[in-house]
Amino acid sequence: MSAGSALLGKDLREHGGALAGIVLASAALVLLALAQNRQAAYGISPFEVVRFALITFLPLICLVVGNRLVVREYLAGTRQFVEALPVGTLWPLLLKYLVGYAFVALLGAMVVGICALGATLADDPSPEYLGLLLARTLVVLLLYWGVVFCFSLCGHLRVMLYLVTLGVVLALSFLPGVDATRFAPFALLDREFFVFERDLVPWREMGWTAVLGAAFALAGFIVARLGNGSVAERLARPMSRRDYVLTGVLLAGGVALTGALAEKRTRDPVRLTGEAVLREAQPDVEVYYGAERHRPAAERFLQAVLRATEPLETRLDLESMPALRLVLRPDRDAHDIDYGTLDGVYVAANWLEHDGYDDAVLVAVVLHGVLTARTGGRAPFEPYHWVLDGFTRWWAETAGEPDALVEAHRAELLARALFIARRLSDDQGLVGNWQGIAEAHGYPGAEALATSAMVYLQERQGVPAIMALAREFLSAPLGSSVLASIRDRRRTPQARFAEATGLDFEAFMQDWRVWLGASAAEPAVAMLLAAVPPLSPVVQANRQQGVPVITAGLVEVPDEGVLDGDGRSGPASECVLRHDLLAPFASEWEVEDEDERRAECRADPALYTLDGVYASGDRALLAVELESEAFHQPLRLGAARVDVP
Amino acid sequence: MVDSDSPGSSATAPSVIELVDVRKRFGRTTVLDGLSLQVRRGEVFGFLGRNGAGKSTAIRVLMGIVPADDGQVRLFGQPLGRGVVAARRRIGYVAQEQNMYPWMTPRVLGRFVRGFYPRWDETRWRRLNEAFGLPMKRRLGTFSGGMKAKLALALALSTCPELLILDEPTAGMDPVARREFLDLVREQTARDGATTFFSTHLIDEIEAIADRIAIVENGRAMYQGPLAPLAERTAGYSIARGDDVPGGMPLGPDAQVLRVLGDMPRLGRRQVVLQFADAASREVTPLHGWRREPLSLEDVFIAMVGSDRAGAGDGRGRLRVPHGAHGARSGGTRPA
Repeated sequence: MSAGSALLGKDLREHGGALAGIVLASAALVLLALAQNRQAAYGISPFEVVRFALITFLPLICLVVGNRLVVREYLAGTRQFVEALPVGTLWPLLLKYLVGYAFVALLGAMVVGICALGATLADDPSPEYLGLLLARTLVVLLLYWGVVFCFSLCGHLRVMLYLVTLGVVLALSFLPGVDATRFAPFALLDREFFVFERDLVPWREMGWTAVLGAAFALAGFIVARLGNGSVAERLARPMSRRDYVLTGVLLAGGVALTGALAEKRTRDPVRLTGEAVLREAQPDVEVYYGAERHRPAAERFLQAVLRATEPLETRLDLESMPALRLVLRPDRDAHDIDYGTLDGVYVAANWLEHDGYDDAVLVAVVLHGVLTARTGGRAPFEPYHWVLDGFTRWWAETAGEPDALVEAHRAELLARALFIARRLSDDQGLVGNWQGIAEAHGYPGAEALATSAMVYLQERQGVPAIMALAREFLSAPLGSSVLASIRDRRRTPQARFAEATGLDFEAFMQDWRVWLGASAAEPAVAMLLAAVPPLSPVVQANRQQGVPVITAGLVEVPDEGVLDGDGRSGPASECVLRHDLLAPFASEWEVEDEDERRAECRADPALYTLDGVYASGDRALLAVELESEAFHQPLRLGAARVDVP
Repeated sequence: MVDSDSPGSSATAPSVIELVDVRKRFGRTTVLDGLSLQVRRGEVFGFLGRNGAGKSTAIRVLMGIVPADDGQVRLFGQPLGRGVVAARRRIGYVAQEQNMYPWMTPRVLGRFVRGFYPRWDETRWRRLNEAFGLPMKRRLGTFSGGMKAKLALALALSTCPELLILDEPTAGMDPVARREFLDLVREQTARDGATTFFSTHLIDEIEAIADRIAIVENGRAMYQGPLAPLAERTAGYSIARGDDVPGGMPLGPDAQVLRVLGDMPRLGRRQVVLQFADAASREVTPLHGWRREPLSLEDVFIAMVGSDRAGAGDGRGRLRVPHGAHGARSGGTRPA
């Protein structure tokens, strides 16, 4: 048996039990997180658990391992015993470094492995993707272990060093103007990219993080050898009273600094500058209209927004309204809307040609932003996203007044909703997999479906039930803490729905579907539905002479109507194929319209051909939409994802 | 430094340890200040010095745990450099403090340590544990200081060492445990014939077993040689304060005084310890007023290290060597 294996055997014998316990506890924790994720009201990607592990318990485990492997050896003085054995001076320490990293790396690999086993098809855990996740994890752990290894050799100073490091990390995270997610090592743990980025390997960030980790490890070895080990030996003593006082001062200073920085982080919203801006102080709204000739349209839209937002603040007991910044973009299409919710709500759109229906669409987007910002981003969560979509549109149309919904708007909304409802099976339900529905039928369709639920709820229980539902899901700021998240996920949306409306969720869903079906008899609704051809898109992808070719078209849906001999129904209408490259995990339903293909709506499985547009290995989303005078917005006949061979 | 070899010592045997003018500083503190000594194969070498004299640092330098700032260190005839690991395999080491893993049992400890020593003798390890009365299955955390020291000795001896280094192994032991331990060392070293380097600040510990000794103070060897001549060629004298003449000495110019080892007031009298070039000078009758005092080895040791300390303070030199006498015959003398 060599000296190396003797040292390794000693460490395993000394720490094996504890390390095995850590492995089991970590595995249990990961399984618990995955199980909780599976049973929660709404799920996240299982690989989010890897990120969760990396920012919560894996650093703590590194601390425990460092404490056992290094700190104890120095504090107990047993290092001196090993030092006198016939073995190289740095070899025992190097072995400890390697053993420690091997352990935390194995733990990280185990966490990734368990999450991969718990992943669903939607997560698509290809070997390349798993490799990328594993590499990120191992590099981050290399840094953690490097820091812990170095600080562990600093004896009683290590607590202070950890506190200072924590302070620096917090400062970088909270300091205004510093976007820590842009540089290593923070970029590797970025919430947006950790799970969802799979095409780009962050070589630079991984490289810098590895270099940082190696630098800390090297610093540790230098500390260990300073003064022939006498420095590390002198530092290896319990903390004195003076050390405790200093640590307390550091801690208090850190807390005060964090508080101050966190306060500074709440920045004032950006102000729109120039002459061509309408301003409203309460609520804080600014509308940029660019040219004087657009001022009337801007004033009209501002009034529409104020009519919707002012009563909303009162009726939903909102403590404050976020700042609204609305920008007129005359160069855009009527329904091409951009919006964001950073330090307020920003909307850019073209409302010059809008009628009341289009205005309501845009106001609903503004309200969507208001409630999303107000709830700290919780309002659009999958299980109750339909409530947000339905309520905002309903409120944009009615401002909470019982009889304010314009009949024509109601008919168009119900027609759209009914078209979708007919295509959703009873098993699917009308609001399950809401993002899937929105992707398959377009956002306007999903919004109309959700709005029809509000119209039915109003008819059945009155406006107060809708307001109670909105208060339950859309106005309570739960906070961004882990506890708030757990509280939010503990109660099912079904139970919360029943509590707010007094109706059983499943029964409501059935009754709503029946009510919606019955609305087909209304003449205005029937007329609109008659304008929709009974067609559904089909997509095929293959290779022709080595080039990927996607063929898309339309096929008849017999239950919805009858086609003539040429595969047409009713008056001529235009069907547009819109398509876009689909990123992994992408669930957005919007597709670019820059490369759209137009054709007359008719049953033809090869209506459109995309020859060499996508490369082999790409995933694409293709949607066919009806553009008709009868509807304000395109009506999506269907959409499909395709893997390009 | 004074070096005195007895005619009977194996002066021609090859050196196992050889330190030449070794210096070591920790920050501003000089711990070894030109230490030179030589230990020959097969001898039991006593390394004597007060606490803080530099004994442990010298041993750490010898073991290659800390490098010397200057000077030469040779082990088994080879310079201590890259071959430090190979050299340590030939050394059995008993440290001053037994920093062994408290969770280990002797059985586990033996299994751990044998990985480092190719010449590990498992049978001997078991036998020694049994002979020393050490329970093989008890955790070391429950062992007394004496038991730990015995265990360390058993460990060191089981490596079949060519050189056994004992760094104040009895520090903190009660008298019974100390005697027991020393008996074991005496027995084992006599049986193995291994070169033994025994560091201590207690002269009686090495009195019975050491072939030669070195007395170290302030990082330098004050004396190196056999123990017996040190006692035989040393005598103590005292004179009442009232009868004393400043600068006066107890013997006339005929006496072969090598040097004054000590000159200090004690119990109202001035006490002087002299070292002679030959045993006969010891028998010279002291001058009027002076009387001969009984002197133990410990008194000699105290006189030597005490005189060094007294001299170190005023910067005037460490030893007064009257009558032009000088002592160094080998290893050289550093000018004060």
